[in-house]
Amino acid sequence: MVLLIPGLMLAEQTARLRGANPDAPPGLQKVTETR
Amino acid sequence: MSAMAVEIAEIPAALTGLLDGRDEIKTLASQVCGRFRRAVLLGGGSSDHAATYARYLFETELRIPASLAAPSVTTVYGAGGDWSDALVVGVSQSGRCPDLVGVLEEARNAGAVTLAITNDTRSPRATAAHTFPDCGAGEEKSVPATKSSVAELAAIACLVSELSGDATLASERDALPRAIAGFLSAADLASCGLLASVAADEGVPPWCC
Repeated sequence: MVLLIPGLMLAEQTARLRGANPDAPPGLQKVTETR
Repeated sequence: MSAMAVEIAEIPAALTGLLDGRDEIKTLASQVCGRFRRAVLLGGGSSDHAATYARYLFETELRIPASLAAPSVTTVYGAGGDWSDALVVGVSQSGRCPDLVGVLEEARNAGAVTLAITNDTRSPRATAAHTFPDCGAGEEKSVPATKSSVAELAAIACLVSELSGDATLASERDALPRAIAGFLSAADLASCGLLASVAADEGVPPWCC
């Protein structure tokens, strides 16, 4: 489970470096109601 | 700082909160132990991955067959089956997915022991199950699931460690918050940033990393 953390950090930093908003990846929406 | 980064940093606290309720999970495990011979897991999206993790834990630690449910068998085809010897575990951050609530209700009415692992104990899914632990990750604002997803995995590990009585698994479970906090405080952010820059240059979508 600890090994998930660098993956999450990498995804967050990659999005920022690409000028994207890590909180709202293009084409994706929050699906809290169905997950 | 992004909400996603904040929520990643909150993972140790979320897991500490979850483990603070381990007595409740232990009680839950004692209530369901011996009442099933197979496990059926269900979840959607990132919770589906957590359900797959649960399947492996049930099979390797408890040595019982476990499978992933196909909710449409119940909700579209209405083909209810014999659930009498099953533990049906629904994994959902919201606890509001109609398909999964439907399966839990069908399974409970057909004799299964049902259990919802959710981040919202007031949700319909939670009430569709007999008993449940609360993941306790709190609200998650970022679209990518981080702390809620890891909390689901930890909740599953808690449940299985109590069901199995495996001291090693319990010890590893209890060490999780500190291990993750230690990683976060000592993470080689420069290396992570370098990898991220390579991924960004190559055009790799961040959610594929």
